[in-house]
Amino acid sequence: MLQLNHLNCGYDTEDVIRDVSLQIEAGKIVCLFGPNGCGKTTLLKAIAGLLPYRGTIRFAGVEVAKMKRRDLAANIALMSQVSDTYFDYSVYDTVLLGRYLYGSKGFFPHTSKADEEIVRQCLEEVDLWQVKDQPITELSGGQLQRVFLARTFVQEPRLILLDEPTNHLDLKYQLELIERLRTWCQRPGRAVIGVLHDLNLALQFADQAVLLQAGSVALDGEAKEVLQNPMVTEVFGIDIKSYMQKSLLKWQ
Amino acid sequence: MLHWKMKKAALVLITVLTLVSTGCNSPFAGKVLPVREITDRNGVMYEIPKTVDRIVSLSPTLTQIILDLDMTDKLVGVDTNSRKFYDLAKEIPAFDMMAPDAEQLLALKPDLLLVSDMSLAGGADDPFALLSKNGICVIAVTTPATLAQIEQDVAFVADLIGAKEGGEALVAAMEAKLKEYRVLAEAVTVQKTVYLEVSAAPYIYSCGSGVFINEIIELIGAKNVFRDQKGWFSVTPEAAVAADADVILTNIDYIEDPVAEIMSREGWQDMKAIQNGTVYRINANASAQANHHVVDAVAEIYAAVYQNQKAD
Amino acid sequence: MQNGLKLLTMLILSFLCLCLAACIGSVAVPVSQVIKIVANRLLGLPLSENISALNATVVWNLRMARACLAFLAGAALAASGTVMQSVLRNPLASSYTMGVSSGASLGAAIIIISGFSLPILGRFTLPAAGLLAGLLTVFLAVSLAAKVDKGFSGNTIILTGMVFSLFVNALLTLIAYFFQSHTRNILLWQMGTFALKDWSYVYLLFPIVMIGLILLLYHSRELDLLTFGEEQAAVMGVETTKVKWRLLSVAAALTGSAVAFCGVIGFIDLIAPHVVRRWCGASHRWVVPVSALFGGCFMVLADMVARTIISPSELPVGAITALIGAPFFAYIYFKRRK
Repeated sequence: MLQLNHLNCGYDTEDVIRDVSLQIEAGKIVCLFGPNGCGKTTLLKAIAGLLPYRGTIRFAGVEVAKMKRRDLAANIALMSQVSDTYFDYSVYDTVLLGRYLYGSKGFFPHTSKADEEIVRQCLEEVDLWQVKDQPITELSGGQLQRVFLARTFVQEPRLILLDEPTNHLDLKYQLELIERLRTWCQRPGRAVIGVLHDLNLALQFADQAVLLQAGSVALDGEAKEVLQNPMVTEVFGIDIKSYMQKSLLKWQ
Repeated sequence: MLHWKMKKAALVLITVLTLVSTGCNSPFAGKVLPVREITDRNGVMYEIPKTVDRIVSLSPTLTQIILDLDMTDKLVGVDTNSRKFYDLAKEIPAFDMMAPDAEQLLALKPDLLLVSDMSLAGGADDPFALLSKNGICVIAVTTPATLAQIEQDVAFVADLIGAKEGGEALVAAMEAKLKEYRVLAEAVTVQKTVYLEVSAAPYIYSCGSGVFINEIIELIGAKNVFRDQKGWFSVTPEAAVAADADVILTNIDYIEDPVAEIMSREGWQDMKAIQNGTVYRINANASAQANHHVVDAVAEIYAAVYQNQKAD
Repeated sequence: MQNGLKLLTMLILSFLCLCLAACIGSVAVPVSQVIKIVANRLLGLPLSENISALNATVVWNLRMARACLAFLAGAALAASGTVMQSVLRNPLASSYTMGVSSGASLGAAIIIISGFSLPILGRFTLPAAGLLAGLLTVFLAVSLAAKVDKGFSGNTIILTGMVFSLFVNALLTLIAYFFQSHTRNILLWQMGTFALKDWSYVYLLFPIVMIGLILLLYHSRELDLLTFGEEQAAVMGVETTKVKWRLLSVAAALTGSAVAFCGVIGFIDLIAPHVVRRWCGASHRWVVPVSALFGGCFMVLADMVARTIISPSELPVGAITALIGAPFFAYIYFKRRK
């Protein structure tokens, strides 16, 4: 579904991503992880068509650089990290904006019944239907993240890219998010690439894991294998597996 | 103990002298020239050299007085506007009246430096403090508000440069001319109202009482429509139109045809002055000059208002 | 209150402001006469004999023309300010941020010194030059921003705009110095005023403002999306580079024409969007038109105060907008932040 070949990209003159080649199949949940600064966000941005690149990024066989914005948006959605400058849009209006690419251009962009239905559904799924009229500037970090999540779903993409989606969420919502993504992914032609810091979660729900180090792929394969690979200890500098196991003991 | 007291006394003396004699400290260190005191119409006393041979004038108004007193030879420096308006010897350097080259001024070693309000309006502090400290006598002639004050200024400048009699003659001539117009004014049967504009559209300015040009309008037997205002002020067009003066005067010289501009203003066509064509331009130099040539302005204004005569 | 209703309220308010401006001035004209005069000019109804020609011209040519011009300028500035704040994602961004007013002043200065006049344009050569120069400055500022930062983010534009503003102002200072006989004219041109500007100014400004507003409305969705950041807007389907160029150009044209025709008048472009967002929410479909109407009303009222409060003298309208605007803005802004 998504193919990256010898991808090189970065900002200004420096390349952050060096010679990355990856293959992602439909139905898979991929966890992208690595130490800070290894290029995870950059890679997501490149896939979303936000950065110029050398090499190839093919989505369903089509080069991303050649796709128009609307086509890209119809297929790929990116949920970035929450920032702090926002205007007072209501929760409902914010999520509705995700339907932009499906609307007609012009003065009276019609909000169809279908649009309204999808927005309602997604808001209910993230438990925010009751606050739909509240301005987003009054929400907590976690609520805001769920709003953006709803907006991502509302876009009805085929590939969802998530940049640290669980940052502000408490445990309940973290697990719910993962469940939702899993369910969503089960439909044909869908995939998820998420940047996660919590390797427990990664272990729990990712099918494929990619370890990035200094812009290149250090490991790529089945999540279970990759996460337990000794190279992870090298790259991160601590033995994650034994740390996790020790923590687990504390629960017993 | 005595030593300290003497120092203190000296300090006090110097302070008093500085406060009393504005602009003029003891001339050139070492040399003690004979000085005399002279007071201007504001009550400020100056100590000036008894003999004045070198004069710098940074005001065309004052330069004109010097020229008419036949004292051109004493002129060693002027301002750029004076150079433009008058025929002066090429060797005489011209200075920017707002920011003159202090070094060059000092080098000229003038006995007197005459400045007007314009120069003082340039900066916040006294721009000529530097020159006064170096022994140059700086004399500020403030803008006169009445014709009487103009006469006083002419006499004062004449006295400064050692042409007292010449000054008295100029003042007498001016007064005689004014008297002529006062007589003419008495013969006026129907008093006309006048609206004077001194700044072009869209920032029109006019004047009220307290400026000599208003006095001129009254002297010739006319009435300034805005006489109950004070000084120069920006006019809202509606008020100008509503005032509906008999005669409109403008002294603007920086646009080509100010009369045509006023006549073509949308919404002004129903005014008396515009319908009758009694809109005149008066010579900016004469009407803005606060010296004895102001009589030219009086003549011009009288001609415009009561004789329907345009200036050249 | 529904947003639609709020828009209607603003329209009614705008109409009332214009009526008020027509009735109030240095000359006392009874309201009944005002109505008859306006009816005469607009609908061709006959004017009765006892209404003096003077009153008629005062009401129509001096007050109405001025009020309409003020309304258009206020609307243009407010709409432009709204766009700038959204596109640059900065609540303090103003339509002057990109250097429009400096550029326009420079263009005007060049015409003033050279005395150049295009036969077709006549006395409108000056505002036309101002507008063109303003647009050129913005074009240069945004191009530079785009070169430096491919996505020309808000902060980059603010910086390049500032750079150009300062540079152009320096050029202006030099010109004013070397051409001292014109200094006064150059400086006065920059001061905002609606005095002695006849109906032809209104006829020229009206289409520019209408077209500008229509274009902004057309992009109201994109404006909404852009406030969430260029990257987010892009991944949601907006052609950000194209749309941003377009929006910034429209904003520049709106501000540029307001400055070219009326001089630099500040504050309205800054506070109108804030006030309106507090009242109507953030959706641009409403904020843009309501902002424009609010800006228009505010400018008309400010001009009315400027020309009547010390009659027969007149205060600079920019001083009034700042004097009323600042506390008004503080009240609105901090009230919410209890």
